[in-house]
Amino acid sequence: MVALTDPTLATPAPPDRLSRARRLHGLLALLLVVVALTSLTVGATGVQLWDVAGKLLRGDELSAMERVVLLDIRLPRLAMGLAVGAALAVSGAVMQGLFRNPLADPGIVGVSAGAGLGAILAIVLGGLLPPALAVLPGPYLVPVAAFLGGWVTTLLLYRVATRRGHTSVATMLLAGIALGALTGAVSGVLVYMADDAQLRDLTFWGLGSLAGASWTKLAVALPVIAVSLAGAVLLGRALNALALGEATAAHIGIPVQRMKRLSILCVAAATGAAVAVSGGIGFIGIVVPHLLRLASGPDHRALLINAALLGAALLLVADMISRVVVAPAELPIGIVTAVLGAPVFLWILLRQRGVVDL
Amino acid sequence: MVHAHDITVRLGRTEVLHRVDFDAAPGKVTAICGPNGSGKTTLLKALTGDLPHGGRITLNGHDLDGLAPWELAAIRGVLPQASALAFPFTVLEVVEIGLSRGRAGHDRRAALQALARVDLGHHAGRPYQSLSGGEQQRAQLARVLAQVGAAADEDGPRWLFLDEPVSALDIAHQLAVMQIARDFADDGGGVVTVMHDLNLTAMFADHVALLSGGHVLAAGPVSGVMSSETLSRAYGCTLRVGLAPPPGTPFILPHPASLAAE
Ligand SMILES: Nc1ncnc2c1ncn2[C@@H]1O[C@H](COP(=O)(O)OP(=O)(O)OP(=O)(O)O)[C@@H](O)[C@H]1O
Ligand SMILES: [Mg+2]
Repeated sequence: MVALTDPTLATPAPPDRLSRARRLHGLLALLLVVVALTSLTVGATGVQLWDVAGKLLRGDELSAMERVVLLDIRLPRLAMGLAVGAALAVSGAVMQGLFRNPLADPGIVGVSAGAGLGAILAIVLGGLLPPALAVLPGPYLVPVAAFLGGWVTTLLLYRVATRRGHTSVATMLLAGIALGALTGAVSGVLVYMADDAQLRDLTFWGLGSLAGASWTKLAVALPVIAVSLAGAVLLGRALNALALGEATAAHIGIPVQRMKRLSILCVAAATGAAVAVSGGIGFIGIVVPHLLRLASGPDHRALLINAALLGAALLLVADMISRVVVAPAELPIGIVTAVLGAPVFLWILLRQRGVVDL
Repeated sequence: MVHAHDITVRLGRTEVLHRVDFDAAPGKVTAICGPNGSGKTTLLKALTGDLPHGGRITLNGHDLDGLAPWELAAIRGVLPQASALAFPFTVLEVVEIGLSRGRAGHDRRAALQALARVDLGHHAGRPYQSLSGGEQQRAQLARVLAQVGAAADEDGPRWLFLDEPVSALDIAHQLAVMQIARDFADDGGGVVTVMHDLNLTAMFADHVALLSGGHVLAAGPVSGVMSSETLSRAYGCTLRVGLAPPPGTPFILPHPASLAAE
C-alpha cells in the first residue's frame, strides 16, 4: 500500500510493559516474603521469630508460650492476612475490569456491604434456625451467607449500572451508597435481636479485623479464596478485551456473557470469604490495582497476579501497623486501610474527573 | 460467502430492518450505503452476530448462530462505528488485545506490522487515549487487521466488517485505508463496509447495497446501483453521476436544491 510516512525512519521499539509487569511478580513475591516474616515477629508478646528460629535450629524445645503465640495466633493471622489481602485486591482488579472503571471496588460499590449483610444475618438469625433446618454447620454458614450476599449485590449492581454495554459510574456509586445504607439499617435492627456474644461479632464486622483469625475459619475461607483467585487469574485476557467494550470483546472471540458470569462469581466468592472472616476492610481493592497500573500498565494478565501479591503484602503491613500504634491494644485494621486508602481514592477520583463523565 | 436472507431486526419496539436480503462474495469489496438511520449499522451488526434477528445468515457456509465467538473471531474482524477504551493501554497493546484469540497468536511483530500498514508505526508506544480521533480509528483498524491476519488460507476466505472506516480520516488516509480494504479483497478475502462517501465507494467497491428506511432499495455492481436516479431517490436530494476521465469510474456530484430547481 501507499506508505504515507517514510518507512526508513526507524522508530524505537515501544517498551514491553507486559514483560516489565511480569518481572514485577518476582519482586513483589520477595517483598511479600519479607513482610510476612516481619509480621511473624511483631506482636504484643515478647516472642521473637529469631529466638524461635534459633531454638529450632539448635533442636531445642519451644516453650508453651512460644508455641501458642506462633502456631495458634501469629501463623493463622498471617495466613488470613495473606488470603484476605490477595482476595480484596484481586476482587477490586476484576471488578474494575468488569465495570471498565478504575473506581469500581467491592467495598465502594456495596458488594462488601452485601456480603457483610449476609454474614450478619447468618450470625444473628443462624442461631434461630431449628437444628433440623440448619443445613450448614456453623463455620460454613457465615461464609456461605456472605458469598450469597456479595453475589446478589454484584448481580444487582451490574444490572442497575450497566445499560447496553455502558456502565454509568454515577449509578454504580449511588447504588453502592444505597446498598451500604440498607446494610446499615438492617444491621441496626439486628443489633436489638443480638445477644452479647453476637454483638461483639457484629462490632467486629463494622470495623474489619484480622484478630479473630483461627485455623477453623481459615479452613473454610482459604479454599474458597484460592479457587476464586485461580479463576480470576484466568480472566486476564478476557478483561483486557473487555476494556474495548463488550461488543468488541465478543468480536475478538471472548465468550462475553460467560466471562462476565465467571467474573461476578469470583468477585462474590472472594469478597464473601474475605468479609466473612475479616469484616469490612476497605480500599485495598482500589489502591493496589491503581498503583500497579501506574507502575507497569493495565494488562490484566500480569495485573491480577501482581495485585494478589501486593494486596497480601499491603494488608500485612496494615495489620502490623494496627498492632503497633496503640500497643498493647490493637486498632481494627479497617481503620488503618481507610486512613491509608481514602486519600488515594480521592486522588484517583481527581485524576479521573477529566476522563470519566460522572 | 456472506449470505443473509430475510433479515428482520427489532430494536426496542421498532422494526429497523424489514426482511432484508444481502450477499457478499470473497474477492470483492461490498459497500452498504444509505442515509443516516437507514439501518446500515444495524445490518452490519446482524451480519457480525451482534444482534438477535429474524431470518438466516451464513458466513463461509456456516450458520452464524452455530459458531462460537472464538471460531467467528478466527474468520472475521469487526471495526465498529465508534470505539471506546477503558484503561490506559498503549496503541500497540490495543492491537495486541485483538490478537489474543485470532489465528495470528501472540505476535508482537504482527501487531507492529498492522500499525505500520495504517501509518501508525511511529505511535505504537503512545497511550491510545492520547491519539486524535482519526488516529484512534486507524489504530482500531490495525487491531482488526492483526486479528484477521491473512486474507485467505486453506480454510477459506476471511472477512472484514467495517462500519464507516474512513469517517474521521483526512483524504490521504481515506485513500490509504480504502486501498487496504481493496488489497484485502484482491488477496482473496471479503470486505463488507458501511460507507457514506459515494465517490470513494464508486472508486473502491465492487458491489453496493443501497439501504433506505430499513429496506434494500438497490443492490448489485457499482455501475448498476450508482445511477443519478437511484441515488437521488435513496438520499432524497439531487445527485448527478458522471464518469471520471481516464478509468471511467463514476463520480457523484451533489446539486444544491437551488440549482436542481433550474
Ligand atoms: N435501540 C434502538 N431502539 C430503537 N431504535 C433504534 C435503536 N437503535 C437504533 N435505532 C434506530 O434504527 C435506525 C437504524 O439505525 P442504524 O444505526 O442502523 O443507522 P445507520 O444507517 O447506521 O445510520 P448512520 O449513517 O447515522 O450511522 C435508526 O432510525 C435508529 O434511530
Ligand atoms: Mg451507522
